[in-house]
Amino acid sequence: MTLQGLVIQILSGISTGMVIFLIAVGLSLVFGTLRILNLAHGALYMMGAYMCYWISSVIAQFTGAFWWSLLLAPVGVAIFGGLVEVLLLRRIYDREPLDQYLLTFALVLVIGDLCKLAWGVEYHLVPAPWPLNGPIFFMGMPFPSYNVFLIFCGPLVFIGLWALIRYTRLGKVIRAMTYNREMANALGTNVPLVYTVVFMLGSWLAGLGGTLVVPTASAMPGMDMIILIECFIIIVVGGLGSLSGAFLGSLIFGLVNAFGILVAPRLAVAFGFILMIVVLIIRPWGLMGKAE
Amino acid sequence: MRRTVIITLIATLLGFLASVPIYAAEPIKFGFLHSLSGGVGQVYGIPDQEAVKIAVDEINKAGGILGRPLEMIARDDKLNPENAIREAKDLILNHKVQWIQGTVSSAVALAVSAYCKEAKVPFIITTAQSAAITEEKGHRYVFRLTTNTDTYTRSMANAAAKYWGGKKVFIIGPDYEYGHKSKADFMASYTKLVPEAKIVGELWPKLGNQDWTPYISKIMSSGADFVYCSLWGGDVISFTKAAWAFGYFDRVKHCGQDWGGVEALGKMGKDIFPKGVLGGSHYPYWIIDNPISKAYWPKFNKASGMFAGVSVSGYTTVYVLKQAIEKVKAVDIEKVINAMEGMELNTVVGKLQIRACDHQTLWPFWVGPVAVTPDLPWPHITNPVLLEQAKAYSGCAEIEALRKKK
Repeated sequence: MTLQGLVIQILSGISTGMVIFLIAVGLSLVFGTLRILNLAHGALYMMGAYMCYWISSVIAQFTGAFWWSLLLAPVGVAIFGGLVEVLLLRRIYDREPLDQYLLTFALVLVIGDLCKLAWGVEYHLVPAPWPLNGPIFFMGMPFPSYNVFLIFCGPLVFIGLWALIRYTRLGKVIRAMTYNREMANALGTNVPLVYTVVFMLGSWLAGLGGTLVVPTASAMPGMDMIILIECFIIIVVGGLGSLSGAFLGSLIFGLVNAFGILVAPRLAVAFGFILMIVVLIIRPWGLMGKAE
Repeated sequence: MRRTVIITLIATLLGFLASVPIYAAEPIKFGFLHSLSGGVGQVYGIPDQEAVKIAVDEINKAGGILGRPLEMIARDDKLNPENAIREAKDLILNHKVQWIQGTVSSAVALAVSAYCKEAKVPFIITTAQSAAITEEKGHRYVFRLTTNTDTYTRSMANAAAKYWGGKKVFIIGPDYEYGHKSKADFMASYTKLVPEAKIVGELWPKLGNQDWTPYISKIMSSGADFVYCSLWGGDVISFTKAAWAFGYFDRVKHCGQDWGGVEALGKMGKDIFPKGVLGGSHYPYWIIDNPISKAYWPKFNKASGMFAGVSVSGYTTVYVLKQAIEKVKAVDIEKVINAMEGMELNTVVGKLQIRACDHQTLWPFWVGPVAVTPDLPWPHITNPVLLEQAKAYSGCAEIEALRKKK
């Protein structure tokens, strides 16, 4: 393995990690505020991928079709998420966690079938958008420029979310509710509204992840479950409900995956799980989580 | 007067009844069992069904077989062996079909093959590739009218040696039986041609993998002379996509049996495609100069709106059965099987024979570099090489030894 090869492998790992961060952070945010483990988060991500494909093929004649869908597809998913929250989730906040799992799992199946009905079972491709459709070179080794763009998207969203939570009124309320829900309720926050907004934000993030991932892979049935498992690994590693934990967890996951493929490819599929087990043994509450 | 009327009426009626079998002969029924749903159905089962419909239509318009019309009963095996057996039972016991054809999954084919052996009804495989079904697990009632994994890997090894001849081989394939078997078979054939060749790296992503970036970056920095790849179906599409962004196809020599036909590349654009990859095809109709082929593919395209591919095997199978039944002048299963053994066929890909010893048709397999040309709207193989058929398939003696070992 040459030094250049190593650099490229590291970049690959970071770009994998940053995409997963975009998705995992939404799951973590929704859990932190609503106290619901939304199993349908992966399905929302898949929906984003299909919407991106759909929008960019409908408006393919316009220049920058992908950039338009990057703007529109996550918003579409956020609106769908808002409807789900208002019509379904709102009814079960006080129920057993089991009921919540059943409902969100039912949503996985429903969204999966809706996507199949609307877009079929084939793989749908969206080409990497101009000007990111070719490789750029690091020390003479090519690396897709679109993946470099993905690497920047992760920190950008991280900073955006951090600023939102740190400096805005909504962020203050979210922090208060994460910290002590009963007290926040008692102080007269409009809880239903905050819940809807946070769930829409989580859905928007899932949709954004789906949209951003399509140019590197394809929209296909089954992508929802793959990502959901990876998201679970990340929130376990990083700590449930922690923003910086999701970031760190994703970065570690991406790098471990890339080095796993480099060093012991036969075991590559297991590296994420091994990472999770190690963290669970050393710090059961996650790297950035708080011990209860 | 009244009596005459009644007698005339009865006589007419009797005459009419007697004439019914002449006017509407009992149809010859056969079962079409294939994966008709899901992604695999879209790419393999549905086109095959369309091709078979064309054959049935042509035969019936020309007067049927021995004056009897042909009737297809189509069933979805749902890629599931148990479900496939249930459907096969229904086809044989309740519909009394004369033969069953189809299947894409080797696991399904194996199960149906075992049941057909028991039920003593011919089963003709038109898509499934595992060589074992006709080799060590072969029997009197199973036939195959397409290529198998032997040809796949041997033809690919032959072409890789001819075009490139590198010594450092990199392997990537799906992490299950098919991928690992492909690797072993490919290396066995390739090292016969390039004895110093050895594997310098292996990657085994899961089927339907999403993120190819770390896999591609590893291959690109491995320093291998070429890559042998047994990925298929949707993985070909998503791998190509990710690899294109790396400029992979300009730097890496890549070959794989499923990288050349309409099944993998039919929906791929010209902006992103596996440029220069050595891919394979069962039926590269754009280079085949044969009147049957020239009549077939435009007809298929017109009827189904799809491009012709491996589905042509389903079409050919119907004609094989027609030829066999007409030869023995009866719809007797045992006689028909005897007629099929060693039968010479005139097919879209030229003259072929159904080998008597293992019921495998020595169907050719073309391997060549993938490119975009003005004559087809999708990327496809060009300048293919063809391995001599006797070398592309295991010999009868080899297969007999395999069967004894089992």
